[in-house]
Amino acid sequence: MFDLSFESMGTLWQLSVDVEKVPDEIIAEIKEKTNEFDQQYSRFIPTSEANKFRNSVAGTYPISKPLAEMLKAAQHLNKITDGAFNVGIATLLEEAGYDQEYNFQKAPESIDWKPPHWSVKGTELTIDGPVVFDIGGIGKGYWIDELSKMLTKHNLPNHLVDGGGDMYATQKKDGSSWRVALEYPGKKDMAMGVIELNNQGLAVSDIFKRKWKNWNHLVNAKTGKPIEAMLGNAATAPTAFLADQMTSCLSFGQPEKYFDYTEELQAEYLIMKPDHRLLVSRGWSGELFD
Amino acid sequence: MPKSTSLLLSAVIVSSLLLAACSPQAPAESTETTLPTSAPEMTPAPTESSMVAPAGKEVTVKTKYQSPAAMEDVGFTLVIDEDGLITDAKTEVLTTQEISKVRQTKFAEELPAAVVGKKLSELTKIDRVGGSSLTTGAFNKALEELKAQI
Repeated sequence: MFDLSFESMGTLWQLSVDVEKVPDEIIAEIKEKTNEFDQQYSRFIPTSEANKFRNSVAGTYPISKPLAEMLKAAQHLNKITDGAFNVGIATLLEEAGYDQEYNFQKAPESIDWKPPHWSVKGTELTIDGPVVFDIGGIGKGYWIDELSKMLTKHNLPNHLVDGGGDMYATQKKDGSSWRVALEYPGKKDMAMGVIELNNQGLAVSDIFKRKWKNWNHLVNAKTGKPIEAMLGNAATAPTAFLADQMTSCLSFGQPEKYFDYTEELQAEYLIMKPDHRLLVSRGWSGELFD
Repeated sequence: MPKSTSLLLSAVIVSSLLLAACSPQAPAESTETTLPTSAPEMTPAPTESSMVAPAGKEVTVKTKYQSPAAMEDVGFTLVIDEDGLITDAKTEVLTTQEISKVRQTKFAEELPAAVVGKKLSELTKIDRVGGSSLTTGAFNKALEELKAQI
């Protein structure tokens, strides 16, 4: 088993490939392309496409294909969460202190903020004024899938790509699944369960890791406040992108719609409530340590 | 049956009985009524004297109501005896609709107890740990600075 890890997108990337050795050129390509993606789409990089419309007037603008793909998914999630999930949330996060310099100490009690309106058609973005995008909620899943495709193209089909805790896993060389422990929200060395991944994506989210003063990074665009209804959630789906979209829906969508989300995104899920009880979809395949 | 449906049914019965009382010549009568989607207000029931209907009278009413799936057509057939009492009632679903996909999988399972969890170090054969994304250098440093200030 060959493992490689590196930092990018503000988190730790860890790849496991079921071979003796991954050629150096491929390692280099993986790191290079991942950093390129970070540079192009991170809101923490001033020159990124995410920041391109920070001072723009209302209008229609051309955007790159990857951004269009991500925004199209985000647009749909915005619709099915009734506006609660909005990747235009970046300026609110900045006002709350989670800006490019991590000015956490300036965190106000509450923020008066109006969600920007934006839409995507083809590779054209239409906005109603300045907007900054935070694609963190779905972008890692998107890139995880891209890395998996890259490895398979290089004849390395048996792998697990972990992008800061979200992941996609094919199969081990012997056909067996990858065994993944699910971190207990808020308890670093504890697991709440285990799941076996076999050509599946997994996304995990919690309110603890990116938390400052009375804020955490999961902010509802409709209320302008961080979520309180759950401590964390997890989802499995055929791709990491879909799993990532599912956790975003769980964090921000209406519970009555959870079933519809599972159908749309072909996902199963798990939610930890504030009292540490779990809400688990019927098709959840993992073991739970209750 | 749910409360709103029974209220609806009562309203339908009341209105159909009133109609029946109004036209004694006609035999089993059909009327179509479209009721509002919210449960209508209960109007006071007419007194017994205005409600005498011929014995063994059958009254059929077709109406619509809003179900979670759609506007449903439903029929009620009531048999009323000479004292105006309903002796039999039948409902007929007049449109077939796949009402709601209440599959077993629709409802997520809520576990009854708080999760105890296990120590990661106690787990065997784990390939990876999945969790909310790890934060790195700059983020952690800023958090430390914040904590130092508080």
